[in-house]
Amino acid sequence: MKVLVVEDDRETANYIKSGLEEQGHVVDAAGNGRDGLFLAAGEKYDIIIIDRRLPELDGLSIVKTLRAAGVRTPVIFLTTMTGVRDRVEGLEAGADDYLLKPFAFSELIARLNALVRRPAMSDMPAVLRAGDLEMDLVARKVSRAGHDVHLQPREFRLLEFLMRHAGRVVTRTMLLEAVWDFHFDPKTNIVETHVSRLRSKLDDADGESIIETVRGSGYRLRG
Amino acid sequence: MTAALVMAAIVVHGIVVYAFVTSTTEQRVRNDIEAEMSALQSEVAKRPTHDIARLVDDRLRGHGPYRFAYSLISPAQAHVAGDIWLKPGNAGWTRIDRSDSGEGSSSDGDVLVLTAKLGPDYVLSIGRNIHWIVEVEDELFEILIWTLLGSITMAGAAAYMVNRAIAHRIDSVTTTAGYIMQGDLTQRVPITGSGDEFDHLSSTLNEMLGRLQQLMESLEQVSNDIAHDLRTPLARLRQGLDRARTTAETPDAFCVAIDNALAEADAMLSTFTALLRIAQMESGALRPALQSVDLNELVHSIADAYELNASETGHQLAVASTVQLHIEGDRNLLAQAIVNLIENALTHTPSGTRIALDLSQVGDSTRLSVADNGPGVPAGEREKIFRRFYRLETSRTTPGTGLGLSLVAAVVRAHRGKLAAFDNHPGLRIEIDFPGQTAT
Repeated sequence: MKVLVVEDDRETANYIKSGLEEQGHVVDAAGNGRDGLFLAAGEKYDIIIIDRRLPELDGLSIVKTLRAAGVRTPVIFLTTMTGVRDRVEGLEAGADDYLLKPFAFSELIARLNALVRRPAMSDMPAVLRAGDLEMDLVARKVSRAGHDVHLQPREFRLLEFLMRHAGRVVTRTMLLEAVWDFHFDPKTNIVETHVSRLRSKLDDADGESIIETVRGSGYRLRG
Repeated sequence: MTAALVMAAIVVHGIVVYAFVTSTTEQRVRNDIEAEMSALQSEVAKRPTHDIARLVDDRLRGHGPYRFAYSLISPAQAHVAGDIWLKPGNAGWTRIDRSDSGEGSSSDGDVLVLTAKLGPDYVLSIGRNIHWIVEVEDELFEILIWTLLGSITMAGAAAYMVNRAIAHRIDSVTTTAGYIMQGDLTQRVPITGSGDEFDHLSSTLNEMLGRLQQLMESLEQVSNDIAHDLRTPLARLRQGLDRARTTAETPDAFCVAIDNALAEADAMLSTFTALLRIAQMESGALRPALQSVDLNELVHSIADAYELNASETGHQLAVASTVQLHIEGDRNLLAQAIVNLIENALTHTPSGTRIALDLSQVGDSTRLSVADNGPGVPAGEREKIFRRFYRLETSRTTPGTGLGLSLVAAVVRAHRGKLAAFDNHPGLRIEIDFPGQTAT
């Protein structure tokens, strides 16, 4: 995967760059907004990571310019904790996701993977399949190995998100945002509770769970 | 300055009145004399053969008390007609004193005289006694002088008193400012209760000082609390790393130590995040992104998210709200506030406690109440629970940042709402009133 990192804070930039390179990705880095836009518009990247506040040209302007020029490369914004409004502005400007600094590297990787392999809206299927799990999005029905599973609406959304990202790690934060619309960190482990409830409904008593816990990162639906 | 202006205005006013009165009365007399003069001149022109002296004598007989005085001088410089004798003078206006006038002058005082040629050879002077004008002028002058003196005295006295009062009030502000500069933030500008502009200014200043004092106190409080509350987790973090370094041998043991350290760091980060959020909201840097929020939907969806966790700890979570109530607010901040209230109740009440969320319209505002039937909070401490890092003695050991309810308070304040804690007989009830709501 070829990644562009536009970040003026050298430490954060190196943290992202070296981490991604260790995983075998090719990373270009730009230290200010102007260079970032130049690279983003000229080269072909799989994903662009842009800091919200940058010298010379801020992140919002870069994304707006890129989108106006027809560059559809997925963009992840990095924002600080003040970012309640930044998040909305960033998504409106055309960014695909955002991440609050400081973040765990596993969180960044999970979000990169979720974005890069995201299917286009047009080929969204009406039925999702992962292993022996089947989800009918129209009839709102779930079955495992042919047996119907009754889910609460919230559990349905949780499973849908896991199935759409089957085989990939989704983090607790990603689930909180996508399933509960919580853009903050609650003390209570509501994700854990709901995942274990979902497991109890989906899994056989003896076998391994279809929802795998990835230590230090989040969950992965076996695909 | 003001006094000088007032006095100048009075003086100018006096001068204008004086000048106007005198000039108009004198002008009227002049007009009369000029009219008489031109009447005689046109008569002489019409009948050049007529005896001019008789003409003037005729005029003398025809007038009332305010008649004119005449003096006709022949070409031979002789006084041939009229009741006054005037020394032949230049043509035009003259003013003569009575002493200057000749015999036949019937009245006292100044006389205004117009001298002009009558016919080809004669010179006629027509005069009128203007003594009364002089008298009026003198009287007016006197009145004006007295009024002026009176006004100046009064204006001066008033200005002095006003200045003294203002200086006194300003002095008290200056004194207060001095105390505050020396670090005594409890000082306030005195208010007289008269409700004047100074009182307005003073109470605004006092409000500002109150806010400053509050900010300073909370700043002090927060820096103390941060130091105190973060020392413990930092010390734990350090101990854990230190122990791992000396005792851990297997990669697994290192992993456990690192995981523990990460958890400690995350907890501290979340404390800082909460602190920053509160600080930003209180300083106004983080203004709510206003949109219409359906509180009913929000409360239900959050309660739904927490139902599973509540039942696991043996709590009962109930929502009593059916009306759709929209308020102008920041959905994300409101969600966090409601979450914190629920988590607060879940953390600080024992298993079996019932937590009730209730949404209702009270007058012009929407009330959200979160009530439990747990152990409650003693009356004296109820207001303190919204303070940063404040924790009841009984909950010292419960995990948490001590910032949950402070964040609620900050969110409510940012939405211009009111927040209060009550005794729920038994338990704690927290009520939030959001202003200006629309029910749909």
